[in-house]
Amino acid sequence: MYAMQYELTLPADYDMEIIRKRVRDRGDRTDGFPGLDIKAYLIRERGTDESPINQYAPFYLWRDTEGMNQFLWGGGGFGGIVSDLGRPPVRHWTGVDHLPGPDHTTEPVAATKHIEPIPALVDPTGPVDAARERLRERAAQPGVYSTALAVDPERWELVHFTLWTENPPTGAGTRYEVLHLSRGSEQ
Amino acid sequence: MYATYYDRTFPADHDMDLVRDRVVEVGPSMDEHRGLGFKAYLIRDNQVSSFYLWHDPVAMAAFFFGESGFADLVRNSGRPTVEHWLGVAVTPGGARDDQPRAAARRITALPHDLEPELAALTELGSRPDVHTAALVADPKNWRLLRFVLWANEVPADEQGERFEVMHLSAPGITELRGITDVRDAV
Repeated sequence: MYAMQYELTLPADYDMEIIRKRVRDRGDRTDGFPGLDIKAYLIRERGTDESPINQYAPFYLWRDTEGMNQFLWGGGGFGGIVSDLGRPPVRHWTGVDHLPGPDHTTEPVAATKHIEPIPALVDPTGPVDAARERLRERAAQPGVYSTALAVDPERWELVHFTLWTENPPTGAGTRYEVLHLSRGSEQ
Repeated sequence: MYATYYDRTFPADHDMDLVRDRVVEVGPSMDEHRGLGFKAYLIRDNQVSSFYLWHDPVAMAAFFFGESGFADLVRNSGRPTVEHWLGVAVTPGGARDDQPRAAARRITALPHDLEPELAALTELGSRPDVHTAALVADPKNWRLLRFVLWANEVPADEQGERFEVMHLSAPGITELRGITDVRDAV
């Protein structure tokens, strides 16, 4: 499993309805995408949920790299982003686990992302195990659609990503509104 | 398919024969590692490095974040920065059955059109002195890395960093797949 996200920060006076409409019109293009687990179409809106910025920041979980290849440079969708909004840096993480929560049958409305550095020089095993334990606890929390853990071994950072069917609790990380959730092809 | 790479530079006066002895000792421990396509143990001057191609991401995560494997290296020599790259394409060359002695690693900006790079990779695969050639990409910094294992030496016109291959563990090298394999299968 791999996690991936790009963040397109938009001008402060940008009409976010343009992004909402884009997702309404095109969001279903990644429904059933080969190799995809989930793609959450996320935005942050200036002045909402303490966000200082307007941003379009979709978050992906992939089952295999063939799907990522097809999407990024195989004519599978990312070309549209590049031609309309420019080519952003795409962060990618090695997946550790993705667990369904108690509300897995309800559509998620919000997402949170929390990035946590793994302390310098230490063996990553301990921090990853501890994070996995917190992942299991979060997966049991009411309001959780699903929750995932991944690692960037270049910067040695953990990323916790959670989809919520209700307002996320405070302290869960950066908040996003979910405009659409695409589920990929079945395994 | 996914690639990982890290390196470690030793002081100029370090006896690199100690490093070579260590690779002779520990290199074979990865020879049958499940989920690994190959691991190349590389050396150039006072720098040692490891380039991996994985076919199974679960095994890769277990190696880097689990109890054994990478954790042993961290305990012995500290935690390096691990570059991670998305595998794009891979091809065997005419020297697949030989033990490769040299390797080259070339990093360029990722072009919008990958076709010329894919064609060049196919060309490498037709050479008798190439063991394996692979393309991997980093969409965060939009870079493309070409890694080639050569039977004897890296040709003079090949660009990028050159390494001596001290050991190659290649338990799942035939399991590696890229976009050209998917495309050719359609």
